[in-house]
Amino acid sequence: MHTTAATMLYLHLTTMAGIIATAAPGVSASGEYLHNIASFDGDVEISPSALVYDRSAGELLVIDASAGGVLAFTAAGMKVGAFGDEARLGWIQSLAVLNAEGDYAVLVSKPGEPLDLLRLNYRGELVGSIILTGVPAGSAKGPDASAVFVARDRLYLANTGTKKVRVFSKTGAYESTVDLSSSLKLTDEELRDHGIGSLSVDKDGNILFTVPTLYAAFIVSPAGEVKSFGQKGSRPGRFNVAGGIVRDDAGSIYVTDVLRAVVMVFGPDLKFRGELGGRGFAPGHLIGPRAIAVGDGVVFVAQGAKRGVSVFRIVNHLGV
Amino acid sequence: MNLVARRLIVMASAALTLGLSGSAWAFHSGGVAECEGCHTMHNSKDGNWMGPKYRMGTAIGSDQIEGVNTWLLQGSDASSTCLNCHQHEGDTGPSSYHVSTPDAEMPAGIPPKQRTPGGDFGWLKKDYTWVNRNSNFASEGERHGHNIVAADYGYMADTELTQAPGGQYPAANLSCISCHDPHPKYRYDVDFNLIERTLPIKAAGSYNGTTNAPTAWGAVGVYRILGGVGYVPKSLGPTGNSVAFNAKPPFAIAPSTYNQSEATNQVRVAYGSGMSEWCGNCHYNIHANVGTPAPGALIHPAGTNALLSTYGEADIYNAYVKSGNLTGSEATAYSSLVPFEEGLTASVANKATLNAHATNAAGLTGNSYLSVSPSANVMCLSCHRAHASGNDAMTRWNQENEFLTVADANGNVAWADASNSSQQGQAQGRTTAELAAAVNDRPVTTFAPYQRNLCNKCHAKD
Repeated sequence: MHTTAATMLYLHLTTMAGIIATAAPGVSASGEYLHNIASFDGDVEISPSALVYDRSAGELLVIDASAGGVLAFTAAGMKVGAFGDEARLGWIQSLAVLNAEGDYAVLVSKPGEPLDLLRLNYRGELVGSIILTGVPAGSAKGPDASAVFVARDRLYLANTGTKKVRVFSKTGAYESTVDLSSSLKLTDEELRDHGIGSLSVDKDGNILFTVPTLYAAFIVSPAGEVKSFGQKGSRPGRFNVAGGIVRDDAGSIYVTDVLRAVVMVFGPDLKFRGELGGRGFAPGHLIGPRAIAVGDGVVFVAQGAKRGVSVFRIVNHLGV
Repeated sequence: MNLVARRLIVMASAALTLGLSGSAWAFHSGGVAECEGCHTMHNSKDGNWMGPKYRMGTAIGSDQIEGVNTWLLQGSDASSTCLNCHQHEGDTGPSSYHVSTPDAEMPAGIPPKQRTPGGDFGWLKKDYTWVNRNSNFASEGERHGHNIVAADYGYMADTELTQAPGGQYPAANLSCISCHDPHPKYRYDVDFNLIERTLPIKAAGSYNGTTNAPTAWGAVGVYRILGGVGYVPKSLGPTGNSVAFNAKPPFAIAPSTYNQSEATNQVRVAYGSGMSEWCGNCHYNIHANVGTPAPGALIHPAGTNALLSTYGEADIYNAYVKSGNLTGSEATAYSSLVPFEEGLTASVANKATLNAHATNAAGLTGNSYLSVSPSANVMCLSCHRAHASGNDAMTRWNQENEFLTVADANGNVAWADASNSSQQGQAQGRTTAELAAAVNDRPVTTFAPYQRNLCNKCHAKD
């Protein structure tokens, strides 16, 4: 019964959709707005802090502590579950998918206590703590991170404040630390002034991050190679206030711009291909887009003003 | 069985069971910033409208200017435009120039993250309720600060105070640019004369760095680009002239890193003069030196004439450590929870003095310097934060109970525990993390067990 209702709602919503993307001449990337994430009560009106797409399950996981923790949606944007609102777990700040069985690594905090890194099953039930071991002297013993990612069978604990990403095995054995500061080539004072806007890790272990005040995005490969792109401005393809950044399995990169209220699409060659959204309250338009997730040809964009998460289908994302 | 199917089973089972919950960055640089930082210029590119209605050359909306905001702003309103940069997701703690914490990162029991001297606007969204002596109490979020209107970020106009207390500024129009002039015309020349647009602004004037000194060819901006005489946002329209400012911007200097936990080092903004008079631009009737009632009415004095030396408050300030402890000295007396103005007007010499006093470094924030500041005076910000705080009336400490702290079983000072029925009057619905955050993380040992409120820093009646 649930499935039938979800299908009917999905069909209803998709009939309202339209193609609303801007494409760069000759290298088109366009997007079709589908709908916003919804439950059986209608659109879910929240402003999430993070989005995670679970490729193995075809699920979108939405983190919004004020809305009760983690909300789970189908790839079509229909709510199918929630977890993480139990006080005993603490406040879930970040989540990454550990395996195809639906186990998660989650960063949790409780008032007055240090961060903890937990392993939960797909129901959000506590499986155990992930104990970090082998941490070198001078590095925090605990998680000390603002976000957790999983790639290449490893855990990545990212601290956007210190601009460091520590790499661990999935069981918590320390492997290495990536200092993103060195990729920026700035003085200590400049480093303090230029904070990281958003950060993600792609499936190959490349670290992608934006620095809004530099109007640029950076990619640091596992081998330490650094690439950057972005140019300031208010026209399509330019960075005004860069927000979230994520890469899909085909290599295309999606960057939200908070001020211009768009999602910019860049090809694997880092060339601008087109953009989605645009400021406005009409369906398919965006208000203050920041967090973003992508998977299976669909882009999920979290917005401010409790506008929820908009869902777009990417068309011709490689520009062919 | 795939995950979705499993979740549906979980949901169905549940339904059956339950029967169906700062840093000184240089964007503004003391003056008007890049136009495109806030505005969307002509809303066009290569002859095509950028507004969503005309995306791909196809009309898709019913509103021809859908996507274009008033005043060509890039946000839905002025404050939303500001918060596009000044609110940030994912901060692990106080960070750079951020002054607001997203809703999703401060659930019940978790305080806002930012610790700027002005306070985190997120406190406006923290509602508290508690029971004390069988009576119900509440501390509504909108009582915790200036209720800026920022639709994109969930900040709404004050529902109770529809005009500025003691004035007429309309609450429905209160925004960041009600106080901060994004296109400031006032600036300081090399002699620290306050001038208008007769020199370019070379740098921010809010900080004590070496690059923040004016020269013969370049002025520096006023403190926090606050509006000056005649300022009123154009968005108020012609009627706005009735609330135009008549006081000049205050003179003050902040350390270049000012947004940090004060668990170890305090942050001292060196206030010179003019802050209370400036607050009086909007709150003139609750300011003793301006408007009515006249000076001498039963209003706590604040401003240039409210000297800490008049009745010995400066000596008390230096001696006061905590409730029941008056053994302090000038060298360790300063408290960022009760700042004051040094009575110094804008000049080259006074800028140098304030440069030296504005600091966030260990061991340097303790000296009050009151013995060398005979003109030091109490100001509005001695008791209130400028943006918001964890307390009613945006005060720096909680005025709603006689005690700020309690004692544990051993007689050691402790924050009140909201789950302890005998301490709800002190906790007032806040968690210990929120109580600590409300004083910018100053250690609880800063205070005495059963510490009385901090009016006593100047009055020592405890």
